[in-house]
Amino acid sequence: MHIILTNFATAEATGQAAEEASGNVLDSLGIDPKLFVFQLIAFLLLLWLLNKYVFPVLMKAVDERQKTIDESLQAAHDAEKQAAEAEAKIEAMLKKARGEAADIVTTAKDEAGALVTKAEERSKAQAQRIVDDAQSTIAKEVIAARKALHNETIELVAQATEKVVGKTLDGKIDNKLIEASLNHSGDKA
Amino acid sequence: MPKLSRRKIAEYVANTTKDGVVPTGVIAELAAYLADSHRTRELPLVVRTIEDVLAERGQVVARVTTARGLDDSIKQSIRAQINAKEVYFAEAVDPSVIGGVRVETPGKTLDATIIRKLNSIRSAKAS
Repeated sequence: MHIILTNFATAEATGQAAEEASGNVLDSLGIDPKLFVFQLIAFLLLLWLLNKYVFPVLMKAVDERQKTIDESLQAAHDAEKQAAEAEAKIEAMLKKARGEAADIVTTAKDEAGALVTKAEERSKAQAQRIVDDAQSTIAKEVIAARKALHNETIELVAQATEKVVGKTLDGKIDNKLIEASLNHSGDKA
Repeated sequence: MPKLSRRKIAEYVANTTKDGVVPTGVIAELAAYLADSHRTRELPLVVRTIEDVLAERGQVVARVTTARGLDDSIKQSIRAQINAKEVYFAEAVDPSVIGGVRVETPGKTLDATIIRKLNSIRSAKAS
């Protein structure tokens, strides 16, 4: 490279002298043909070198970068799409869940209402049964108490009669009683 | 020893009875027979059968229970009620009957005692 630059400077110095002497069209345009050719060769060489060693690497890097960007874009697009799908799916699920929740709430309300109604009916029936049982028990107890009172009264009357009659009944009255019983029996027969 | 029926025993005893009195020897004989044949438990039934046989022959044994004993007028009334050729009294005094009379003859019972009336009142209790 250093050699090339040295040659380039020498050629330019010699070229300036020839240029001044020739004074052709290129001079009028300010172009040194040798320098131009040299520059062209250098440019082509540079272009070739770049094309051979630099551009492929750069292009490869650029391609990879582009590929990465494309992939990223695709991934982003896919992610966006997936996000949209997920969102739609979530929305659908939410809608379905809301519907199901509404159904559940409605069903729960209906069932709760039915349960409350049933419980009320059961409670009323049970209360009525308890009242009926209590009334029946009371009635039975009243009847039993009446019977007991009746029996006790009879027993007391019998005991009192037994004692009073046993003390007051003498032989004369007893004989009259026996005669009356026998006569009564004879009348019956 | 052959087993005699109560009817046969009763007829034998009734045949020996005179004026409503069973001879002592017959009573001893009956007791010996029942003891020997292990039938002493049948004695009440044998006595009842004897009374039945006597009743069939117009000789009625009346078991009379009172609280204070019987007097003749009552006996006459009982005889009139029984309406048999001969009536023999087996008297019992039981103060627990309080008053009235109970007459038991074969096949019939008249219970006109005060205790029976009181008991019938008691038995009429509401159950």
